[in-house]
Amino acid sequence: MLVRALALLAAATLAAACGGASTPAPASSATAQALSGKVTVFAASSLTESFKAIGAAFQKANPGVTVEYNFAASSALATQIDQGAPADVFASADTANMDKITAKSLADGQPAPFARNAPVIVVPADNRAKIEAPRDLAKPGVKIVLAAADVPIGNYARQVIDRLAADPAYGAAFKDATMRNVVSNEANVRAVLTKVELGEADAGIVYRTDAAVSGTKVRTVALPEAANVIAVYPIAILKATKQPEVARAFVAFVRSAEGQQMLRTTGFDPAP
Amino acid sequence: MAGRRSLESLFAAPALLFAAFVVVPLAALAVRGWQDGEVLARLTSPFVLQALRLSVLTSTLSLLLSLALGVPAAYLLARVRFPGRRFVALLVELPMVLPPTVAGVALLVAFGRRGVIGSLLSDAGVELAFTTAAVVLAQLFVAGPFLVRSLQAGFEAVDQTYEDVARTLGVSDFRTFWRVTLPLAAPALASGAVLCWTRALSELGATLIFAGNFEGRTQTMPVAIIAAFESSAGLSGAIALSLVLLGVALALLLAVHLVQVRRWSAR
Repeated sequence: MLVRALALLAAATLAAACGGASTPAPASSATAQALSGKVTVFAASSLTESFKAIGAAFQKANPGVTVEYNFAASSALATQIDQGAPADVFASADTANMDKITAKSLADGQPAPFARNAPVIVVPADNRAKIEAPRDLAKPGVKIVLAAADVPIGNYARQVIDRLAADPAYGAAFKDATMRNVVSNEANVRAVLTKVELGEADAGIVYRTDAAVSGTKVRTVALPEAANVIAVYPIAILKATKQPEVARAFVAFVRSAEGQQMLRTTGFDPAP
Repeated sequence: MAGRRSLESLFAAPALLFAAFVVVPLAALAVRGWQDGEVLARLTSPFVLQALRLSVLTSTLSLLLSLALGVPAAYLLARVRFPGRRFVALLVELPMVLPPTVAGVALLVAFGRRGVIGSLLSDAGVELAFTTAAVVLAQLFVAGPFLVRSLQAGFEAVDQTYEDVARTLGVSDFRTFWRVTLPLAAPALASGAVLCWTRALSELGATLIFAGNFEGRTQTMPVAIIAAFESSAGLSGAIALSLVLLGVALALLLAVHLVQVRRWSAR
């Protein structure tokens, strides 16, 4: 009896599966309902909140689709993709790491910029080291945490320090003293943020959007206009994707008015 | 007999599969290192040498600290019957089964600037986080228990009649320990020390969280592998560092086995 029931169940499942397969998907129709499958998105750590929200909205609009994320430093993601990690979409926090992917012809088409961000100085809420201006980063004994130089925010942070040093009011001595105060090169922007939140570091450089995520745990110190660096985020579909349609739809969604609006609410500026 | 042979042939396939699973990645690492000229060039780069020097320094310091604190601890756990002894022994073993990242967070909460002990130290002008001392503490936390555990078992296995004889001959307690107990537990001490040192050498999770990553100061070999992997040095840098650590591990393992073989053949 049980055997027969199981056999029937198996037959029914098989029939359903065959039936499903024999019905051709509407060819290249733009209807979102036709989309199904899983898309794996490798995204910069700073995109954690905004991309999770975008993914949820994208899944809601396409019930057959699942979005999975791997959030890490763009530099780490680029190495992983280069080593054949199964990613469909790569969203980098800088062009340098995206260029590593395009240089190896791993991207499908040209990467598209989809958001902008800006580095800021953050200090713990109680600011015991009394860092009120960028100049204070060079004070002796201040513990600064940056991201490693190849991590986008680590690179941007060094650009900020270079730009400040280019101002005669700061000078090269400012850069030397500031870099001497760096006690750790962290793996990604969120590691920098955590160490500032904990008060283990007196100051760090993260994105404006990360400072917003931290809320009242950190304070930001304004940068002079001339020291501002604009971080441009590019997104690309990877050639190795087995879900080109879903990947394309996801990228389109990120760049759509709805996706851009969600990025804006988390503090990103629209694409250039 | 026939039954056993069929069992053996049944087990051969999974056993071989497992052996291949362990050997193939390590061999791939070596082959890739051999083929990739960049890897060879990086083997002697300041980046690698600096990390190696720091690793050897910190793991040796943490071994010495483990010996200084762990030998007395192991002896007391093995010899003295005090209330809660089993519980203490369990606590000592805890770091061995704990993910090192948990150790890192715990150390940060205790010894970080705003930590329970760290805030007191900070008031006294001592700050541990992001220093080489933090690396040593992280290693001591995760690796020390290996020494204590091994040595405790070693002390427990020492026949106490030898100690009693020494004492009845008027030898002091300390001298008895030094001349009788410790030499008899020497094999356990040696294997515990090797385990402790290699575990300290491979420490990553707690170090990254508690000590951070800074070349020459807190960037040990395992930390440097992560840093290289995520940098433009990319995979070849990571492979170069991995090969050095693989070589050290292999040499140590061979040394331990040689010592053991000699001991057995001496019996």
